[in-house]
Amino acid sequence: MLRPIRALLPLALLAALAGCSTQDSAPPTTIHLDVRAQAPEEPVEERVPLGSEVTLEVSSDVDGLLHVHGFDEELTLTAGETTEKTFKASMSGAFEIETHDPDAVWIKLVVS
Amino acid sequence: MIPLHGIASREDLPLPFPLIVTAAALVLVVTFWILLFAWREPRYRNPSGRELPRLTKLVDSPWVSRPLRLIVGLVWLVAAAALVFGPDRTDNPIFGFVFVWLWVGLVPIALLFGEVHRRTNPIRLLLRGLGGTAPAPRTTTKSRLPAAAALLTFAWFELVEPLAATLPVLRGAAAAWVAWVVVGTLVTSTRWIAMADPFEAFASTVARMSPWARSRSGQLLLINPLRNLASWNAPRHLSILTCVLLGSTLFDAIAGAAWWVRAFQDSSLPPRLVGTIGLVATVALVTALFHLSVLPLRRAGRSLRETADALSPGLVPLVAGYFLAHYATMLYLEGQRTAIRMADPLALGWDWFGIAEAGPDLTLLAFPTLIAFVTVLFIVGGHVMAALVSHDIALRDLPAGVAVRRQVPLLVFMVVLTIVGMLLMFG
Repeated sequence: MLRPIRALLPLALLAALAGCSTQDSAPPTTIHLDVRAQAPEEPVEERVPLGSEVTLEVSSDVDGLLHVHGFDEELTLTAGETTEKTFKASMSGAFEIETHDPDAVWIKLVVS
Repeated sequence: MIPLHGIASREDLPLPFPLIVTAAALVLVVTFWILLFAWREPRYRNPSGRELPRLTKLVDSPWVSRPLRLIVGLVWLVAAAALVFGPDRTDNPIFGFVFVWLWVGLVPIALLFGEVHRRTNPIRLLLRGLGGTAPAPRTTTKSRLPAAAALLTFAWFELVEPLAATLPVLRGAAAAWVAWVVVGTLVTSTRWIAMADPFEAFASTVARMSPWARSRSGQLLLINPLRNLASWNAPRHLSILTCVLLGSTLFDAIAGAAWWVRAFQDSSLPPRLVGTIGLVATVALVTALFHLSVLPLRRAGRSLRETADALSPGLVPLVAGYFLAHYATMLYLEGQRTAIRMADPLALGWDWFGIAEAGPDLTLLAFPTLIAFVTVLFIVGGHVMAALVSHDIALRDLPAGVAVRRQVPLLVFMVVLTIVGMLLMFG
């Protein structure tokens, strides 16, 4: 009676293998972000391919700390300056990029 | 307001739409197949299985239970140290310990190893002198209403309380939990632990879906999980407990949905009030719909509550399926992070196992398509098991032809719950 489910298994494995091949050929991506005193109402969605080198380029009006959830990357922001951070988008999923104090989500990073 | 802020740092990608459609179609087809063509006589009345006397001896020997309790007890002590003396930051391991290891981790442990949490429940270890660790003669059918209330409170704490991931608030909640179980045990008896400890009640409910059971004489049985669940002489108010679990998981998905967040932010009402109303309303709706859907299966001389309780084992696979589908990747990623943090409970730079440098293993998260398929497998698998168990239980009191017709509302309820849940969580 569980046959339909079992039939999905080889499919899932196939799909996994197919998903595997996209890993290393992804081109590097740069995401630019302006952090202003006024936070956005909704975060901007940025899509990057799985496995790509992501460079986060942040110019800020305020001093603060920017946090990339999941990857646990942190950028120290200084008012009037541009800060950069590069990391590998090695996990699939959706991640929030946010500042603390004031708490605001600026980007929803979608890695797929 | 993001629940579990700082703990759940990653969300799964939405499921591809064709996959959702396929899964929904599969759910419908399998459900009607069960209704029309599956067995017409109850099969799983008795908890029979293969007796394993040698394994029973080994598992019950002090050589196994003492080290097991010692190790798990030590882990709880480390967690308690982090709770009392650790820093009030999101990298304190206690948050991951409570919301990831304990809350989510108990489900796969119960599914794989059966009723193991009962043997290592820290409150039972604490109450050892009162007989808290004595083996259960038989599973008690006493009301699970206290545990259902405690689970609803925990769900509220996790999903509604904005300060759940801060140390002082978590300390208060932990103290309340210990007091609830310990004081209740002192006032009544050690049976209170099985009735009222939310984590033990949850774990032992899910453990009925594992391939392990105990015979009347206490022998360990290797058993078909469907039979294990369907033959359960369900405790009183199990229907409330399972509906609380289903409803709060559903509310977790609602609270994450964009339309809810928007409505939430726009409203001028305090966030705790809106969240509380949302959670209680979702649980109440699920409970009411379940009771309504079992109404036609009511036998003469049996109350609606008894009917709902008798059929509620059928909801357990839905709970387990949702849980695994929703939280498996979180358990994988944050579970590893919690392990790293547990090796440095007081944030003094310790690294007991030398794993801090390497960071969590991310291999599985490089396969989003595999994750999507496994997610759907959990949901559809849970639904199929739920429908089969309900079917078997429904056949016991009624002639097959009548039972089939009267099961329709219950199966429709399950189909709707599965498909709505899937759209909400992964659409």
